[in-house]
Amino acid sequence: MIRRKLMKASWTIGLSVFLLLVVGLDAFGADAFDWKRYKGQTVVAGFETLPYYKFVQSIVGEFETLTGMKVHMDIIPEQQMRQKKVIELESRSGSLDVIGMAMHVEKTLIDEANWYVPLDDFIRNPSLTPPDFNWPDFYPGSVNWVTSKGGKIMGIPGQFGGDGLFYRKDILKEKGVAVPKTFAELEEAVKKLHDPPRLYGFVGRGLKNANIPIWNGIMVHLGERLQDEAGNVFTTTPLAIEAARMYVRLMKYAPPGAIGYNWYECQSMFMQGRAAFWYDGVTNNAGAVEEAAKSKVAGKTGYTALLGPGGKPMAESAQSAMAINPFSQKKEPAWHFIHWASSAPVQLRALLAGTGMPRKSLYQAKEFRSTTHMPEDWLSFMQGYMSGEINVVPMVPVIKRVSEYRDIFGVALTKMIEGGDPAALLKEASEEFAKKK
Amino acid sequence: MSRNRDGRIRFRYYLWVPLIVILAVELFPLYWMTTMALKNPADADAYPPILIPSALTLDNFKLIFKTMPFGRYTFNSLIVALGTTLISMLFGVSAAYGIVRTGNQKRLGMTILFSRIVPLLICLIPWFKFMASLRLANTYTALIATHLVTSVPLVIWIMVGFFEDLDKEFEEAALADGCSRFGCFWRIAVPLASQGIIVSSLLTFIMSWNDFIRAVIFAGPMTRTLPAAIFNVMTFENMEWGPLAAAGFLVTFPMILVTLGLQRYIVAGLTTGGLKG
Amino acid sequence: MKVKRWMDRHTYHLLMLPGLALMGVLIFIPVFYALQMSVFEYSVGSLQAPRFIGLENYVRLLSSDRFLLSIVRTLYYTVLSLVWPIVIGTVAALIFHQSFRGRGLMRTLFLVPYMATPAAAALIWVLMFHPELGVINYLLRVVGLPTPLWIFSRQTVIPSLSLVEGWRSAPFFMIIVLGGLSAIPADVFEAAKVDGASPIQTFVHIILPLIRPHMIIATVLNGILLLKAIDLIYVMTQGGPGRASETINILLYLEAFSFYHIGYASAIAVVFSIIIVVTTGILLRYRRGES
Repeated sequence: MIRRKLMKASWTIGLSVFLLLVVGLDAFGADAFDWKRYKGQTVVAGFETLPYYKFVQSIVGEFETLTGMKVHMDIIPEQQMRQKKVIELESRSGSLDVIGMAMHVEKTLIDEANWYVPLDDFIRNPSLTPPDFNWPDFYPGSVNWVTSKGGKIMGIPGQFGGDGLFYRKDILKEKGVAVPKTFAELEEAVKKLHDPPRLYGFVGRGLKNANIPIWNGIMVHLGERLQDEAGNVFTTTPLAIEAARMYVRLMKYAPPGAIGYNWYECQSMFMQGRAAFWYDGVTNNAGAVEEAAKSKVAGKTGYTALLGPGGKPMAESAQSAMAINPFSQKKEPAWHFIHWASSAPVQLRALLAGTGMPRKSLYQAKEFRSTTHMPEDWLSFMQGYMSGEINVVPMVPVIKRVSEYRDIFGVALTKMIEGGDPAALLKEASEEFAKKK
Repeated sequence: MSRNRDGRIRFRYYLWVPLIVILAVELFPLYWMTTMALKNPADADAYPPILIPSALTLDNFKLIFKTMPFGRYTFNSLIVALGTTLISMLFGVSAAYGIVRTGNQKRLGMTILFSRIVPLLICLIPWFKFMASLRLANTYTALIATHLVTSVPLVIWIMVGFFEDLDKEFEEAALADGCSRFGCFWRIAVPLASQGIIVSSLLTFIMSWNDFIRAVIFAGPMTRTLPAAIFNVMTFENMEWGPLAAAGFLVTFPMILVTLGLQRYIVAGLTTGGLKG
Repeated sequence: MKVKRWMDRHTYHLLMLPGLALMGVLIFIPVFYALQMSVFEYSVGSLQAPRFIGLENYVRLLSSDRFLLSIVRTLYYTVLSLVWPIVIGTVAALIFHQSFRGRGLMRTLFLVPYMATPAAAALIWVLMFHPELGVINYLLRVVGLPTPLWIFSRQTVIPSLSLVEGWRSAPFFMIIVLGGLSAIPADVFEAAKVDGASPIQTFVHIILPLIRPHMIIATVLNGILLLKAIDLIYVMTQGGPGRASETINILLYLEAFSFYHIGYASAIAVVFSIIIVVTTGILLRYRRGES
């Protein structure tokens, strides 16, 4: 009698313990990171046309196999995507789960409107993020771009632009011209090497809107700031005017038609060997320049950051980032895609394909050093850029109305190239800009 | 100068010249689109341009289907165009009939005219605020609604013209026989005005299919229609002409077929819509 | 029963209601909303409520060079875009009024540019307009004519765009004018022939006055559509180079979606609508005066 009762009791206890263990372990297991956690779900991602996103698109099949998810990547031209983003967010649409942000255009907009999902908790959560994600690997300048005024992370940095000087080592050597260290020296060198129509001294963006970074770049090198804390811009100061004059003087030595050039046309010209100097994104546009199959100047190009205030080298930056749409119904699957696309292996492959990426470790990786065809110059630039040796500042004011700024002052710059007076045009443009606060 | 039976002047030989010139000018871009779509990359970028290509290829079309979900976009275009047409006809035909039978043409004429001439964007900007509150962003519903803004007044305009021309005898006889007014509408007036119905549904469908700006603003990646999709093929860098032309061709081709097959109705629609202004 | 009778008596009004109600919701409510937004300072992505500023948006508008220039450009574009189709459309109508072999097919083919998707056609025109590699300049070079920069130069961009618009609308003109020609009784031509009139005289003194009303209608209808046109310009130049092809519609789009000024954009839309309504009114009055 008692034995049977004892057996029954121990059996019940045993079963309960067993069940508890199983349930307990299951709960435990659910906390571990699992690639297939969102199996069967679909994520829609919208991006501007950038090489990094195109690269991710080309390998997205790997992500789909790894996770069992489906990803629709929608990559559309820059201007259209920016307008679409505004509409998307203002209309609280959840049609995109992942949005590619252009921080140098939209940072203030999304920060002030609270149109972002703080990613800090996502990054820290071990069940959502694999342990090797390594957030501290991202270089501080990029992290700065994606951090809100309140200190929250608004997106994960991707491709970034860092403006500097491209120059033809071979031509400079041949003509005995020293590598310019400042914009003033650049002007002199440009004049010396200008030899139309075979070789133009300089090439740079003239297209309205796209041309602002050069002007702003010269401004910050001369020591002027682009804005203050309150968001006021300094476009009529003597240094701003001097920077505009310098831009116009440089553009005199550019190919005819440069007034309509965006970065692509400039790059073409430089790659065809038609220009001695080019001021644009060294971090992101050098890959194509060094591709021997397509570029006549591969192996002959040097890269440098011109000196700014205090004699310290200076470069201007722009930053793209992947963010979660605050109105998406699928925030966690969206994050799943983002952390994969931003992982070190994926970013390394993008880097090897020729696009500068913001993880410090990539530039130490064996594969990078051994397989890269990029020259020493460029590597030094990247290293200086990421270590802080080069003083990196934003290439445009970080204000909400930066698109309008680029439009209004961009047109003013093109009018200057056509012969207008810089001081008067800047004054006029500033008044127009101020009118519609 | 001899005459044909219907009094027209017989065609003079010298009129061939202006005819050929005009036709050539009007049709050349479409010819160019077709040949560009069929050229291989080397020929497409060739200068001097190859006017009559010999090495034709379907690669451009294949590329388009590979790089974008063309099937989905076509499906979206169909849904939006069909949806718009159905709803416009439903609401527009009945409204037009009601307007004519209650003799309100003059009074409402101004209203209809106003809705036809007002610029679309004045409606679109408030619209995307509405979409937020109604949680309709990027849905077919929102997109179709923006299409209805232009199609419903158009249908009413055209159908008023057709209903006005109807002989009232048939309806009066039927009413005397005890037919309900709605029955008159549905079983007599509508069949009699069938040409108008075909015309307005055709024009509505074409307008909807061809629409670009509304798709750009209101359609998301999953609901995007063809015209907005092919615009995205045109990036500021490496614009590949062959695939671009192929995309354009695929979008336009259905409308060309429709025009060729149903031109009678299109002409009738344009003339009615125009002359009864 | 009573309900059914009531419904039958009021059938016509009941039929009218849904369509008009739909128009009210889709068109008139937004228009009023736009009117309302235009007196606020309303910025996209602002956590603060919009600020009431009365007529300040309108004052800024009317004193803005950019806006006033866009009106000028819009009118310039519209007028230019009407020239080409009037000429081509009328000539085509005269030709298609004759009977000849293949007329049906050719007339149908002629209709196609009007029905083709404008965005697609615009893309092809961009290719054709390329100053160095495009086929148009190639053909011009072959015959020794100067090769303009078409949409890539400030001076020629609006004429180039109107060329494309004109190309698109010529079939529409042809249809309308052809309708007018068909309505002319045969005896009119007989009488002219009997009187010994040459074809040109017949055209100028007889045909032209009879089809003038149709040409005017076509012009008015198309003109209104052109004032509001945005598809072609947006696809081909997005308002560029610089601001050379920035019409009111393009500016409106930019202000709303690139610069985030929704209130200001609404004011532009309101002023624009007033311009169109007034212009239409004037044109209609002129037309009524004609007949």
